[in-house]
Amino acid sequence: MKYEMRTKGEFDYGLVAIVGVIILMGLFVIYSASYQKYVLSGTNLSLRQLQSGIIGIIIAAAVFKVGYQRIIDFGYYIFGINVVLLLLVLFVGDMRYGARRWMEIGSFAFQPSEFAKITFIFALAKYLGDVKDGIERPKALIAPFAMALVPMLLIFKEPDLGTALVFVPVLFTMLLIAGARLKYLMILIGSGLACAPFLWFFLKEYQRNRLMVFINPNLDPLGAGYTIIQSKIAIGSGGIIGKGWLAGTQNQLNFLPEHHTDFIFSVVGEEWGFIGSAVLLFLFYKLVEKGLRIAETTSDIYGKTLAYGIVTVFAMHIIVNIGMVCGLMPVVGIPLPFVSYGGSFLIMSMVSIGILENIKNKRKVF
Amino acid sequence: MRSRIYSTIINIAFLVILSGIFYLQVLRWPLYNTLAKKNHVRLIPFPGLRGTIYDRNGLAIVDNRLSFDVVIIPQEVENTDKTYGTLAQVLGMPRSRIESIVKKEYTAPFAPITVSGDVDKDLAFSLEEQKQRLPGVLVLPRTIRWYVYGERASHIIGYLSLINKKELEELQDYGYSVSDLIGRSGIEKAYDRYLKGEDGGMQLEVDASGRLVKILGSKNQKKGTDITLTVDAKLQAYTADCLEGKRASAVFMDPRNGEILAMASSPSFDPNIFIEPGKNDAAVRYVNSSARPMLNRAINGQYPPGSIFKVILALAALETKNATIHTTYVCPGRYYLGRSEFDCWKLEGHGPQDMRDAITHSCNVYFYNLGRKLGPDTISEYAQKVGLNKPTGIDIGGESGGLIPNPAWKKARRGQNWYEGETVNFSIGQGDVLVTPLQMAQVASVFAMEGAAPRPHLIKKIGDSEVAVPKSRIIPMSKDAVRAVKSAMVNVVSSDTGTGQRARVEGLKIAAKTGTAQAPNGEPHAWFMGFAPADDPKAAFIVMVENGGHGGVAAADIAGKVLKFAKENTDILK
Repeated sequence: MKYEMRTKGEFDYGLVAIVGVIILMGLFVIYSASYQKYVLSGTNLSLRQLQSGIIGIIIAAAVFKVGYQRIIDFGYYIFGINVVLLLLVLFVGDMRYGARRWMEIGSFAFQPSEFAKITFIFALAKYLGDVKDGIERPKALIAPFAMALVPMLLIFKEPDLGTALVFVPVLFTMLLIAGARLKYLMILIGSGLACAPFLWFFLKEYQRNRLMVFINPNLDPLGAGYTIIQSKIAIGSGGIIGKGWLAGTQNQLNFLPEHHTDFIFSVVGEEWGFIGSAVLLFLFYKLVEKGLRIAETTSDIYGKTLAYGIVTVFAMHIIVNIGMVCGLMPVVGIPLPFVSYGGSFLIMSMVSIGILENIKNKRKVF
Repeated sequence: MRSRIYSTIINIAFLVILSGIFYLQVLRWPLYNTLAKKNHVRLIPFPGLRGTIYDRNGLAIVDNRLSFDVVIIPQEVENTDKTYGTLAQVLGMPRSRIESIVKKEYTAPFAPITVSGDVDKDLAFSLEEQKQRLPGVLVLPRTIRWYVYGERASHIIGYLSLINKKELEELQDYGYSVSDLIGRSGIEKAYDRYLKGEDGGMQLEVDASGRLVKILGSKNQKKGTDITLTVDAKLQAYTADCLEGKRASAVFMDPRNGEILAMASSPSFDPNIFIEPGKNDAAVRYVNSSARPMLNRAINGQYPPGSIFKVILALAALETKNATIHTTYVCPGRYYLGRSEFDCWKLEGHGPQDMRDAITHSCNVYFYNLGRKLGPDTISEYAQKVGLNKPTGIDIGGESGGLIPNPAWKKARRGQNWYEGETVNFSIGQGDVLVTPLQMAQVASVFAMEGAAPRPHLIKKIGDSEVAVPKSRIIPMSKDAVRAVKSAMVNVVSSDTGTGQRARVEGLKIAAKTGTAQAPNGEPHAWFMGFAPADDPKAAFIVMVENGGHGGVAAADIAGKVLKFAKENTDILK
């Protein structure tokens, strides 16, 4: 590939600022969500999150320096390595909370599934950029589907349904933007929906329960429905101004399970009220909007599909996560970007921002 | 175009999320705020104990004791099948019963369900030891009312049961609440507002697993006021034992001040049974029994007095100068009024009898003559003067007033004239006349105190303060007249021809009168009324045995036994 040497050299400081504010808010929320643990055992999770954040900045800066185009060249290889890691984690992964998602290297543990999202986007972007208009042919759709299906099945096996499902909208968005024919995409969505009932049989017991409970949380108020009921109570009881930092009873008294990871938004809602939740939601909206602006204004097909893929991952995580803690969607465990505790996802998210900035930076100048 | 579709979808999704948050946090805040509070705030009630009831010597008659309840906490039961099976075996109740209790009483997964209340202490301890093997099964201690004397003091003490809805509405302002027990009869009812404890409680903050985080506030419970009775518990228990197996009642009272020393009624009931809701069947059996164990015969049983009424006639005759102590009538064993014949109980006749003889031998013919001379109005007047025809005013209330007839009453009530034959019957305490045993205990006191009618009462102290002794009602009467009757009453027991010999107690001078009253069916009722020591009365008494038979034998026996017990085991007669 020939690189365009003349670029505008732009940098979106606003996007970085927004991400900075969200991460800062996240550190405070994690501190509160893990406060009882901190008091008891001295483990400060917000400090660990900060460490991951610093690592994230370094990697994001490195990626920005290298440039997305160079990475796209190696897109298939990176993706291939990631798939191997996903396969490995099923055998040698660390078992936590009943799932094999973590890979341990020395004292550092990470989740290959978090990185699979971004490596998949790179690989698909390369494919879409390479086939160009050829994507209008139905045969060209086979490879993208295969590329999505392999990591999805492996991640589903861990099991991590939420992360696996994120691949679906990413795939369709990128195909849509790359110019695939709407007719074929509709047929695919339609046949996918038709197959959905059969998927029921592949779901684990707890996953079926979650879906049942979404329809009626009171089916099992102390089992599967417990989390969603307690989460709604936490958010609802926050009211307009909230109960104050470290003062949420649902959070501090442990009524909320997983309140520093997937359900962290309910801590925001309880302690900071509607004002806090709305501010955070607004920041997320601005983040997605800025990402979209970059994607729309990029004419390079590689960069454009890449940017859309990344924005879709963010949008999915934000909407599905907040939707589920508010009881608007079934509980599929996916974290809230930059706020939920968890190193791999934070680093992956920061790297994604670095790539977006790089895409903006490398826009062609006509 | 494609990117427009995409951004529109994103915008709509964000808007939906924002509306969702707004709905939860702003519109539904009141609901979720209450739910959050309910989540982490628990109220632990500390029930205020009821006051202890003591006897005159400080012995506890009614106390509070620790009991053990076996409860199940549904969410902590690991193996329902095994748990129910083991429990059924240990508690000796069918498994289906445990299942139906749990099903009926279930409110929340963490709320304990009482499977068996007040279990045996050994059973409680053995269950406590098996705790590890039976998660979710707990033995909870609880304080419950303990009627130390059970059936033997129940008519005085009364019983408790759950407050009903109507009472709760009326009494809410006085600190009564939903699960309170309230006095249903006797002392428990009459002094309920003193005995009732004040409930306390603690507001706790708990975490998700129910562990205590901090105490938000607390209010100490207060025990109700202790009450001291005039009753001597030992005498009460012994008296009750003497009545066992009979339909009978007995009252022993200090004639000087009206303090009830013992008051028993048989058959009786065990107030402990009403405390436990699980023992409802037994309570229902009491209420439905034809022997009427719930009836306090001492204050609610109304009977014709029979011959014990004669002492009132004797007093009336002496007072009104219709007779002297020496007035003599000959008893041929029967008495004729026109063509009607009235028998003496001794069919061969007593021969010539003066007043003392007539009382000693309980000669009917003598009192037929005396009664006719006095006339029904005078008899009625004197009967009412010594306290009959109205309740005595005992502090537990609810007593019956009896009936003393006279011609005016009969005319008004039945529209009929009084027959001379009725006067004859009236003279020996038969006919329409009705009295309660307690009323006759008061009459005995009037003779003992020579004209002072004490007001019977059971309460001596409320807390530490003595309750003022109600003043005796002074009945003006000739001391000579009443002393003459008293000396005749001494003869009843001490004379070898006296009808009450069986009540004799070594070293105790007893004044008494026997009575036999015709019962509507079966054997006549047996009465024995009197006081002791005769010269310095410290106990007035009445014993009444339904269908106890002729000559007051059954009643006199009991009175004698109780007096003997009192003399040997209490300081009442000292």
